[in-house]
Amino acid sequence: MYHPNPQVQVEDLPSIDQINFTGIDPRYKKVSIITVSIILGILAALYVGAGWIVERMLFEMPILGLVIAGFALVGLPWVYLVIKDFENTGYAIRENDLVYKEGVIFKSTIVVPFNRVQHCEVSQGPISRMMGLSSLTVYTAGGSSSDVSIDGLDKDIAAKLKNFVSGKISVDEYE
Amino acid sequence: MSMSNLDFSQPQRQSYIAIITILGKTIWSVTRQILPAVAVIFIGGAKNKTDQIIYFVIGAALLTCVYSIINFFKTYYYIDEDELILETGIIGRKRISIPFTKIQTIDSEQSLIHRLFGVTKVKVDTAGGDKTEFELAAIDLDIAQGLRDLLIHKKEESTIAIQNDNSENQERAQTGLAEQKEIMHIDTGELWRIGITSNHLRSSWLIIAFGAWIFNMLDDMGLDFQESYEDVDSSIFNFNSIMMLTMIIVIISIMISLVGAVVRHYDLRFFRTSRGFKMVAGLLTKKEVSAQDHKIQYIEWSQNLLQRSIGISEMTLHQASSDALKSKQKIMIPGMNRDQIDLVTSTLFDRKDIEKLPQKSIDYSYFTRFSTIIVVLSIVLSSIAYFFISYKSIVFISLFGIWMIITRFVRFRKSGYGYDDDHIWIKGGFIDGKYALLPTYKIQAIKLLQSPFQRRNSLCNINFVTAAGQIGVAYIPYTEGKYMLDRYIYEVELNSKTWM
Repeated sequence: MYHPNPQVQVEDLPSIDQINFTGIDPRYKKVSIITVSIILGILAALYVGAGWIVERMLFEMPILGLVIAGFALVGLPWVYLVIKDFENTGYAIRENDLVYKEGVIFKSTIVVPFNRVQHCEVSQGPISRMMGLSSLTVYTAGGSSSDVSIDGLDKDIAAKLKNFVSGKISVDEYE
Repeated sequence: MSMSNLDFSQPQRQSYIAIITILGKTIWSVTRQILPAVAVIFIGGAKNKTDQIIYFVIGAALLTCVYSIINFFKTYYYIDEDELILETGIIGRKRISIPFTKIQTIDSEQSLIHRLFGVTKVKVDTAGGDKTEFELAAIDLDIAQGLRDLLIHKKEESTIAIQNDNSENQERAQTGLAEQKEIMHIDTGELWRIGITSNHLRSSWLIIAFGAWIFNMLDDMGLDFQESYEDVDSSIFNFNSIMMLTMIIVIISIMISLVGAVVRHYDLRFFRTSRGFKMVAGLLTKKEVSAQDHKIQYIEWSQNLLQRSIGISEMTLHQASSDALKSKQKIMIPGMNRDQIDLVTSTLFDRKDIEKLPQKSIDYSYFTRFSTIIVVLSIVLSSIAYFFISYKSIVFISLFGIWMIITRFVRFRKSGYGYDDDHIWIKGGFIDGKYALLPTYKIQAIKLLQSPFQRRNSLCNINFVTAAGQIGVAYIPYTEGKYMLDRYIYEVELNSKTWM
């Protein structure tokens, strides 16, 4: 069986250096900050509840001060990281694969070829839904270590991407 | 083969021996759950209300047993056209059907009871995402053999029907099913050598963990150790007694390794079958596991110092699994010599002498960066310890730090990697040398990772994700990582070879 197989220089291959990543929707920054605030809010409510019902001491000065300082120490860097993370996250769709990068301190880039994708799905969390955002998750046989989940896509874009990726998968299967 | 006089189209029950094994399994699991409670009752000697508890427990256990017996009579398996079907359940009937094409492996396992009555447990595994699995607790040996042959036969038939143009498959199917070539057989002498050279550290951990568990158990039962400690003269915790204890642990470790090797690898036979590999082994429980070529994602072999001195390695075949890294999908074959490894790699990957493949070393900062962090951390911890705890803990912190640095250095020296058109190989290990060989078309995705330090120094870690878990190398030049990513992603996208 003959099939043309011209030599390809690796230098000429499409490189991940030349990719223009698409950032995620700015609305997602709000979603992240709201999520963090809700978690911190619940913790604070629990603390107040505990102080009210169990131990009045929790409202007195040295302890209260320490707790507030602790909250600030955890909360502020958390919010900072969430914002930074938003800025560093990006994806790119190429002819044959999906490239996704993320991370603030430890950065990672993952490439998933479409002919290895098992299926993909679009999902929405409650806060994202209010903002009109969706997540696109692409599943491979590699399990959780290679499943890519892009949060914070406009829901129309997410649907479009899903159709595109699904189309790619089914084309591969009929080849 | 007496395939003709076995009729699988009629629903049939498992062998009656299955009742014994199912009951045994049920009783064992129930016992394990309630053992601590029972022990507390008996040893603790508290008599109030314990009678009711015991009746309740026995009642529950009996009910479970009756349930499993009725369930046995309600469980049937049969073949319907091109599907293997299992029907089970008393109230809610469950019907599991597996199309032949989906069947990945058919493994069998014989415990002592199975062998006494000439029956076997059979397990049918399916591919990828769906979790359907099929287990028959006990069926007659010849029925099992017949079923197995039939399933493999049917599977090949249907596979060929799909891939009609693939002449290679047809050829293989025609060469027959029973055809298998023995690659290795472990006799008693070999078994002895495997036991002696196995990883004794693992056994030591086992002993220590077991000791801790017993201790915990006794503690739960209400025996007070605190008191007995105080009675004991502290002078017995001297150098001699520690040496004695160490000696005892070492001897027991070696014995456990030996016994473990005999129990697990007794009469081990490793075969090349028409489309894969098969291993049969075991003293009390005879296990038969198989791996088909296309399901193997990558292979790994390791050799510790003892094993190197007599030239044997342990080889692991990593198969694709639905939940990544399930250990049952790994097949480990001990006591392989170089020729046997060559045989496996040449049949599977068309390669030989893989230990002699060119290796690139990883960046030196893999060691220096880590050591710097450890030194800084040790100094910080030591100064805290000095002011708040005691100066003695500084010794422990320093020793621990030195140990970490030494292990890191050894790991650095042993790390390496390389690649060519078809394969990627990665070397590593600490006490043992580890090698992994990955065919590039088995890659599912590639990940590049960078810490801030690595970004400043143009380094990265690379991970290759496969359907059998991920393997990777740390601290390689970023240009290398990028090169490998670009090249192999391109290859995967272009290659029409299916990974499974």
